[in-house]
Amino acid sequence: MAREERVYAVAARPDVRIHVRDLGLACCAVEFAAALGQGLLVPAEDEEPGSAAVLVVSGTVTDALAPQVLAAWEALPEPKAAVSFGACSNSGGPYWDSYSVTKGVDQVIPVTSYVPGCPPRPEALVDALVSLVVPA
Amino acid sequence: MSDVPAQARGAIALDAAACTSCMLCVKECPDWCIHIESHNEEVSEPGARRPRTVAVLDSFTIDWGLCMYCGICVEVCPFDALHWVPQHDYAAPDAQGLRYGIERLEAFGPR
Amino acid sequence: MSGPPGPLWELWADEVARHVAEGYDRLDLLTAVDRLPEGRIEVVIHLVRRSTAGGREDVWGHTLVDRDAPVLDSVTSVLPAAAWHEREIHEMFGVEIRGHDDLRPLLLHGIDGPPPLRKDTPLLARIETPWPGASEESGRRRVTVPGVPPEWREQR
Repeated sequence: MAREERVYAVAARPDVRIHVRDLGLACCAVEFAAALGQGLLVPAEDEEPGSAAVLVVSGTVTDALAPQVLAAWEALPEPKAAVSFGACSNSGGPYWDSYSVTKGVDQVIPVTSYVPGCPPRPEALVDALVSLVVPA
Repeated sequence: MSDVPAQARGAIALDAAACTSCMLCVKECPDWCIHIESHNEEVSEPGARRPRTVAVLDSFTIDWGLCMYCGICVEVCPFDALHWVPQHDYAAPDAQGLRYGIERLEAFGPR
Repeated sequence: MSGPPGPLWELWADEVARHVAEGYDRLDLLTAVDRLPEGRIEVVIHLVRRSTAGGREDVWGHTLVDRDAPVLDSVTSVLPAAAWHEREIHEMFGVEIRGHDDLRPLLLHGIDGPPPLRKDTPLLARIETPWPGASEESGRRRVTVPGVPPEWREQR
């Protein structure tokens, strides 16, 4: 399970800084990486983690791994929010009938934003993160 | 919404007028994420000996939380009632917010 | 019954050891298939060796074990790489592996139930979830639900 915890700047919204921990569990992690690769999210190297932390669950949560997901959530300081990124994390997705898959990360942690997609494109991640931290 | 190519497969829109409630999309969806309810009505037509039976669409729901965007529903629809749209910015604060009915599916826009 | 070509390796561990001794010492694949209609579980192995000409030669082997009392001899003494493959066959198909000293679960920690990759192990989500494709008219008439063989429904 890849873990990236950083403060990111949003390229399209220079005023926005987001402290993100990404749980890269499966294919959706590639779209998170693509957001970085395309420069949609830019690591803000000189910044300390800010006042609010976001846990992005990118991929399939298996029953075997669910305790680790919960531990990662509980380790984040308040105030915090969780983003479910992609169908597997939203509901189990294509693996809705599997013997080993948790049918949605909201079975384990509270979710503030459900991002649809299989996988969602990087722009969907950025739009969801911005919506979380910027009042509508 | 950020700029994305026009042909991006972000969501699936419905043209309710074209839907006959044949249920093919419902039956073929691998995630069982489409639900249709309909009922039959008799429509009498002037000059016709018997009234026609027509299917009336009562509800059409896609659960984007389950959808895996395979596009089988779009391909299998005999009446082209479903089409891809590029929108991707429809994240919701709860799971129910990802269950779109006729109104929101049509609001994605025309073909 | 389809499967890899060639005769069955009835003396499984001996045949594997013989091929390994002939240079087929690279394990590419070791897995199983539930041949439910025949009442057997088929175990399949694919071994590779580098040929003197610089290419690759390979051999496929397979054997059958009884579904109801499946026992397979471990080949880890000649092929240490088989350890996790045999563990997975044990975990996913319920096959007893004789001579393997570590059959702890790989994935199904704390998850009870019949071996998942047996074809008569029901997918509970598909049985419990009402299929949206069953229309009101079908009602009490038995509808064929995708991915739910009739035998599973009778188990309830």
